[in-house]
Amino acid sequence: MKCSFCGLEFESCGEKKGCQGCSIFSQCGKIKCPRCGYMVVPEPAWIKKIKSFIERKKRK
Amino acid sequence: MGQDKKVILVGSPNVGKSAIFNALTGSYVTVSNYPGTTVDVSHGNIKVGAHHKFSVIDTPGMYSLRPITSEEDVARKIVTSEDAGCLLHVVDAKNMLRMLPLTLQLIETGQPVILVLNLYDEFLARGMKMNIAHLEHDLGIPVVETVATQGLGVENLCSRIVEVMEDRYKFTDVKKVVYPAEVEDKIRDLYGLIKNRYVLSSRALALLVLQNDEYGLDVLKEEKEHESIKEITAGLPHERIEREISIARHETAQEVLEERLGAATRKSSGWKEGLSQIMVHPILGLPILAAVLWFGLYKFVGEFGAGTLVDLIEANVFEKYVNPNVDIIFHRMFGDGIFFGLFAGEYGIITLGARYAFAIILPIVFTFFVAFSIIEDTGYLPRLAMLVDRMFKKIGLSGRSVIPLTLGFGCDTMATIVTRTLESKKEKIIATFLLALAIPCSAQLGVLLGLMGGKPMMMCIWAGTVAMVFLLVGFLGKILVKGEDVSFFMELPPLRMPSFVNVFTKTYTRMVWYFKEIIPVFIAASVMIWVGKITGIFDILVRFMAYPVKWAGIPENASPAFLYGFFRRDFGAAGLFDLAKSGELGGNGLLIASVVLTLFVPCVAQFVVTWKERGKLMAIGMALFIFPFAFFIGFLLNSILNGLGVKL
Repeated sequence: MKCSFCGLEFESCGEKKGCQGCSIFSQCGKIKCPRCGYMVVPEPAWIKKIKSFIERKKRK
Repeated sequence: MGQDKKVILVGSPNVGKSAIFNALTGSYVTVSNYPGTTVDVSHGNIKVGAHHKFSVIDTPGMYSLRPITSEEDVARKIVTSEDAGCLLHVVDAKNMLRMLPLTLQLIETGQPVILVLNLYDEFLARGMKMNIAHLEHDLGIPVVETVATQGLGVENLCSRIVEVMEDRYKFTDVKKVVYPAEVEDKIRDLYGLIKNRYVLSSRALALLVLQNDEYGLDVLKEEKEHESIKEITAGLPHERIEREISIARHETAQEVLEERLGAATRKSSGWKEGLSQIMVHPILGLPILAAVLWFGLYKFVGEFGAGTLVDLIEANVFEKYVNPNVDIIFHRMFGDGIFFGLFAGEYGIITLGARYAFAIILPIVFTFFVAFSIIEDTGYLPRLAMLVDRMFKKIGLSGRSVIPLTLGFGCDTMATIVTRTLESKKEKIIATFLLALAIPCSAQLGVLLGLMGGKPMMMCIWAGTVAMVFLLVGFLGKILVKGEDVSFFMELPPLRMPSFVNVFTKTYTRMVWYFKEIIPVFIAASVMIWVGKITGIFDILVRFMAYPVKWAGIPENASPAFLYGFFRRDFGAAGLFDLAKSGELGGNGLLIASVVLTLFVPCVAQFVVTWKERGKLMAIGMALFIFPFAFFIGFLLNSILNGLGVKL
């Protein structure tokens, strides 16, 4: 994923293991950029699936 | 021949490194995890003619030799441990300026480096030009342009690799970055103490240990003079040195490219680079910031979201259909009994909690998150950080604080956690305090903008008052909190057009999280109000709250809204929204209530996080200071308005 602040590209090691520090009822699911600390919004799984489906269609 | 020494490909992600690797090696490659990690590393062989065959390693993406991610760590381990006959630094030719600092860093390692300007077709397509022979002369290393996906330039690259691997290229006059005198002095001191030979040059190792790099320190443990090395590096301002080193490399890269990029390039990289320069300019950047705030927040969130959309949903859905029907249904079920008030009536879970959540907060946070995602996707935020850096220094912060402060406009609680990333304790304390005091969260800000929509004078006074409090408290924090002031430097990523998919994804994800978080809070608040009404505690608290509310010049009937604000500030803002719509606050009352609620105590979640992050003393002290202070500012503003005879 790519940091929306500093542009660093990094591999997230699992959105579900994100920090559990601040929300009371739910995790925000954001991933902290290892370079600048910005909280990056990850792509939901269903959007990833749609994107890869479109990619496959395009290749065909 | 040449199987001992390896060709190592290095470069940032997305520059076509793997395409170069594939073009060089063909299809016979092996991919394996780097020992002890899950990071993939590819190995292959290059054959050049009948006589030359070399091993090639494709490293994971890296930005510098000071790793942050596990991929960078693996890449550095390979660069520092393998016997490289040649390091191929692959860069995106279009973004050379951002990538050349790593080339300079690789040159410093003392290993033979070839600079590969990949994606050269895109570089030319943008009307950019480069005098490659001159760039090669300036850097003192071979420079090759390629379009790896089409195999263009690969043959030339192979010849240069052979030239380097056979030691026919003399790296005698390579570009050297000159660091500030203090850094150069320390390098010299360390240089004299490093006697052993390593894969990295002594200068590169000295630079690493000056930045307190663990790898560098670990390598030099073998030195006889290890203790003296430790003495030199102990107590140095490592973070400042790291910044100075980074700035020096960036400036050297800029200097080299300034001379060697054609005039056409400077013109064509033109509008985006020009706009970027204007955005970070201390004076010219301000109108752009004002335009972003005016159109993005005031017009889109305040007028469209909190005005048009809220009216549409609240008046047409809740007031017309939902609330009357809920009242009827629950009246039939419970009559006038106490359970009626839990779900319906003035403070019911559906008629108050759900109405606030879906009719007021939903359209506001939606428009706010759309605006924020667009701003984020353009790359404006890092430029904003550079713009405000100078001003922030006056209040003990650096541009880096823009990250938590900006995130605070989304959610102050999360932003409080992000203050961890700030460099000094002083900056962490000031930023945490300002987040609790003067940064309204998304829904609260949206509701307040909606309340003041169409009243530009009121909006200016509100923004001016909050900004003054922000600066004044920050300035006092700078004086009172001990600690070193910090500087800020970052390489700016390119400006880009926001993509619809990115904006949609970010808005959607934020909305989902937001509603998962607030709906239970709103329900809990409604239940607590219901219990409070039954037991009479709610009325007692409202009466207590009425004292500071009246003192500050706000109509007494706004007291419940401030009570809601203890749960969540947006819940309180929604309460004010109700009152303002029914005209019960009046012009001045609305302004003062908005100011006080903006500065009001942090919500429960933010309070808990502050306690965890900064300790109970700060959390309790902060809340005890902010509660009377917010009303005091309201009182002061009311006195000034009355003194001047201003009626809004």
